Amino acid sequence: MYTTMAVILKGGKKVMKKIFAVILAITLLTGAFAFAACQPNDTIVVVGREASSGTREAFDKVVAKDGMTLEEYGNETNPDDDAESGYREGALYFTSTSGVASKVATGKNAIGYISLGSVDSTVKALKVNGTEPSTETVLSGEYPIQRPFVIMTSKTTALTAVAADFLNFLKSSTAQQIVTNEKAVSLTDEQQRNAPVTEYTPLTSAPQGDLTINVRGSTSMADLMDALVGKYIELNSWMQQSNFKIDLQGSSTGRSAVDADTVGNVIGMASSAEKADTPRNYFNIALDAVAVVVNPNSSLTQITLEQLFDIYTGNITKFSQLVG
Amino acid sequence: MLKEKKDTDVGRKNGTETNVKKAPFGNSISVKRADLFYGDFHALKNISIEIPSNRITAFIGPSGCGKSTFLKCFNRMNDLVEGCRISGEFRIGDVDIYSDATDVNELRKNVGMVFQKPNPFPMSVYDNIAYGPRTFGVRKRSQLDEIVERSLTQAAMWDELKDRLNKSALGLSGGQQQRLCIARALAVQPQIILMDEPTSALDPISTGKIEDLCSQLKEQVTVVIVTHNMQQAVRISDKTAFFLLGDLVEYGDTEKMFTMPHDKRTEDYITGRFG
Amino acid sequence: MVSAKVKETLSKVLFTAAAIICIVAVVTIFVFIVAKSIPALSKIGVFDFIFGDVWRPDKEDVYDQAINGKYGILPMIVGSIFSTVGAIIVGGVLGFFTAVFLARFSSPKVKKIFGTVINLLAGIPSVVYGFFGMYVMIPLFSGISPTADGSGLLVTSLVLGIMILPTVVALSKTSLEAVPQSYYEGARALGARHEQAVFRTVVPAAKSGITASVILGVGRAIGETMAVIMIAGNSPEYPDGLFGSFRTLTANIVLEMGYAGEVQMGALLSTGVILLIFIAIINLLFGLVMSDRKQHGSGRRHLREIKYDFSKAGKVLSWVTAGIVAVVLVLIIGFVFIKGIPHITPQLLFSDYKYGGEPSIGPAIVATLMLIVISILIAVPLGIATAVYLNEYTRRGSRMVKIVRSAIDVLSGIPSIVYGLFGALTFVVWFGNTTSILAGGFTVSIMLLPVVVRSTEESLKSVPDSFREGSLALGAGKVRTIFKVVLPSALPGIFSAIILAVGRVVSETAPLIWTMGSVIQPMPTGFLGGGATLAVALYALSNEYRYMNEAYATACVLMIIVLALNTAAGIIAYRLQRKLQGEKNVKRKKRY
Repeated sequence: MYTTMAVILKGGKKVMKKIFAVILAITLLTGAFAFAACQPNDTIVVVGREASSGTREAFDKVVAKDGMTLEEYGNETNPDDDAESGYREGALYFTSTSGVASKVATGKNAIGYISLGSVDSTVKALKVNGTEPSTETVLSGEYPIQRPFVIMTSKTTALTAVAADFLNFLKSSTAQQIVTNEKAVSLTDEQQRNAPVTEYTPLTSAPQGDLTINVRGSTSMADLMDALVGKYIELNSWMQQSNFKIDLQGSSTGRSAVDADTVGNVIGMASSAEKADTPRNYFNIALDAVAVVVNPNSSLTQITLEQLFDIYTGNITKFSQLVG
Repeated sequence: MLKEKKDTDVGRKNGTETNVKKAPFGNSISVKRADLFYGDFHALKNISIEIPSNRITAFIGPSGCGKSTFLKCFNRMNDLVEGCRISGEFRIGDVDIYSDATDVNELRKNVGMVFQKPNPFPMSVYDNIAYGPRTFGVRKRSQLDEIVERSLTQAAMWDELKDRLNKSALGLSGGQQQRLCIARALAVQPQIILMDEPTSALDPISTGKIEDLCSQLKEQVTVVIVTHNMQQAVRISDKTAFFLLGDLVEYGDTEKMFTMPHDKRTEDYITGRFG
Repeated sequence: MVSAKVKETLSKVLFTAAAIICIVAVVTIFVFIVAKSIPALSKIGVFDFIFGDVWRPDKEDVYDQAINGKYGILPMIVGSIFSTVGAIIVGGVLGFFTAVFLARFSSPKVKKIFGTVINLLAGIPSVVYGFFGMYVMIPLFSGISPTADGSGLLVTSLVLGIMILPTVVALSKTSLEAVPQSYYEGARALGARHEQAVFRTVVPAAKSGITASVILGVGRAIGETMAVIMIAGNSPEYPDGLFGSFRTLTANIVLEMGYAGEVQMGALLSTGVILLIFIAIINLLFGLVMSDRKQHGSGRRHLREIKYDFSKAGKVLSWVTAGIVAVVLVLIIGFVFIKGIPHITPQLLFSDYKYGGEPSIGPAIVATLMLIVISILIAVPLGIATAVYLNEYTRRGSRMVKIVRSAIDVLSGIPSIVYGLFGALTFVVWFGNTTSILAGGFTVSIMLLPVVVRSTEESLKSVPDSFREGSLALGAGKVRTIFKVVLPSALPGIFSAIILAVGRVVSETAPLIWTMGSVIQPMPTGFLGGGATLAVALYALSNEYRYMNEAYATACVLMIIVLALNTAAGIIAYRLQRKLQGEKNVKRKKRY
């Protein structure tokens, strides 16, 4: 270090000296930052999804305290609060799973929620009310924060032959296998699904008519649908990849595309439950757990729905309050 | 072999061969009662002048007297200046150059111009010379070759440049660039060449070369030259016009004017007593 | 010579038409978005919308019933203003001094490498800047932030500042280099030191170009979306100091557009209108500042300059900023390469994508190339023609020029997200009602126009008038003069404009998601088919957090492509320059 410095200074070039000074300044600045970073600050950083996300809807519907959910709290109380729909002031919002996950992976004090399928080693999923999120606990209903993945088709326009066949495939046990592979929770209960699980037999030749299938809807279901389409093409060699037109921009675009379907070739996807009075045909292809995640270095391992409510509404702002 | 060619009357020979159409313009200039305004500024006041063919006429006068402006009237370069209004009668040969029937581009083809600062285009020497002929529809390579050689020869640069035809013209020295610009102007075989202080940015040797060139050129074309250098006017011009504050003060044979000026102001100027 | 006259008239008509198309494009976008937002604005109330404190939309709100939601965007307006001002302070200052350093203080070698790397920055998609902000900048500041998180105004300004660097540097550098050497030499001859000559003679002479670069920078900063939504926090609150969650206008659109209800959608479009008004105001202010300086400035400014000589400080600043920028460059590029290089595999690069198979970006590379072809085919001729019209066919300072130029400045300021909205509701509908490469191409073309026009105009301005006079004096018409003398002389500048444009096509994400396709797709089947560009593929890969490695690898590929493009363009530009100027001149210029 000293020798390089000496060489540089001995070089006598003003230029070098200046560069050196700049580097020194930057080093000092970085040092100051590092020092400050060592100071403990246990303020919780609240991370959520944008107001209209399906993941957030599932989360806000379940997280509750004294019989009031986050969603109801957001709708009914303090409507002039300048924070968004019930979440506390200063909460961070992201439009994608990766935004939330990255924030939690890099922020010591961050807490957020993402689809269970996207949990990896960079984040830690917490037990909620003492239950680990897993296939079993989701199916049994023990793990509270969950939502269905919904497949929708038009009620008013008859499906084309190929779309109907694809829908049959989506309802089949073969499709459930893919669901499991893709880390979503396979759902077989007819009641919950709103449709029975069937067996799918591939067609030996292309059905009549145009083979185009438009897939529209939730980004949360992108990877799942991708795999399903892949399997369908694999089973039906007459089907071309280019016959699928996939464009995913959110659950509500899926719903509106289905509503606007006049040809009968739109398959819609939504990542939140359809209402009882829905104007569309639908079935739930899978369940998904919304995992509450924190930084892997966090000492936190579990949390209750009440605590989550307090954290997201701002009653609890420090980790120390959770322990006590 | 190339030398041989130079010795023959290349200009006339190629003139017929290359089919560059002779336009119905003459090579003398006649101006009657010309006025020119830049907006409200009266830049040229009631000027009448007859410039004879195949002579060199020099315009002299202090900066801002309107001589360059007047020069640019002859090829209508003033058209490009915003707010410039011209009245009066400008004739080249028998043609009224400001009439609606006159094609400006045809006019400029016949009235070439060389500028104060050498302005070769950023392209090769060859393309610079061929620019004009190509503009007027000469496409054949052999014809262009001939024109380039003829023009450079006329400008006395062929030997200097024949090996560098494909090099960028911007790589030449200032004097070479200016002579190249003259050659470029000659390539379309104009009958008149206007020179706007062509040597003001050049060294004495280059200046000398250009002056020699002017003297040779007057065999074929009429030359009108604006100059600040009175020795230059004396050396090369046949006629001289003295401008002052937008007025044409005096016009006559160069020799006469520089020995026996009629006007007191002319005398003051050419003897350097001008304030 | 009737045909020549016809040619002249025809060309004039064409050039004018190009300029008119630019105006029409602006007016169309304006009218379109304004018309769509009027119902929402009348429902919410213009005053309540602009000066309301609370943004709390209700999805169920429809136009023919009373609304429950609150639609006040003042916090976002403040957020956008603050972050843009911050970005201009950071990026404008860094960019300006870096440009001065590169143009007048650095050695040719440093200049070449530095310049290449800065151009590389332009090719990095904003999503990557978002990750850089999130993984590198925010953790750096989290320790000193009272909120325990670095998100907020400071990091947003820094990241946006870095993002506008390439724009500011490239254009400022070009205009600094275009200042005649004689100005510099004149100053030196009067005894000015090198830095005095640079800061007091060369820099003022390049003022218009530098200002233009900053205007483009403002446009980019205010319109940036994908990076901002990763680092600002996005809570609809006023920015609270340097840290703390806040939301910008663009973020507001992108956060809610996918799911918006009827009134909410109208409110989002109205947000777009506010953005447009913003841009118009900025341009107006710039115009006023510029004309004010021209009219009264010089006398006053002289006195001031003599009183304080900043040139020495300027010199030091140039060195320091260049150092800082170098460090930042290394950090960003290092970040992307370290994360991405190990995951670049032949499978990722070259195989066709199969649904359900391993991710692959081969189709994305093809789609990107197709998009580049379309957008260049549309934007470059139109942009150059408009620039020619502005510079060659109009009196400088005429009303027409002013109108077209402000139209172009507005166009350059329109956030890409608004182009996305526009493209999705027009081009996508026209070209078969599905997202397609053609729709994406048209959308991006409109975005590129201002870039091409502005930089072409700058390089046309730098062509000396003596060339034009020389050509006209030979009897060449205007058209011939333009095509044979003016445009060829301006070619290197035009070339760099095209590179800038290609860089923008390659790195743009937001508008393409809605016009060209949002998911990884197999090989494009044609221009009417959908496709994801590399930047969109990067976004799609990272979206669900499952293919982050592939996403970084894609970012690397993108940067390598941009680097290759720049290098190729550099070589071509150098060749052109050499052909134009002769070897001697190019060398002389380089030594300086």
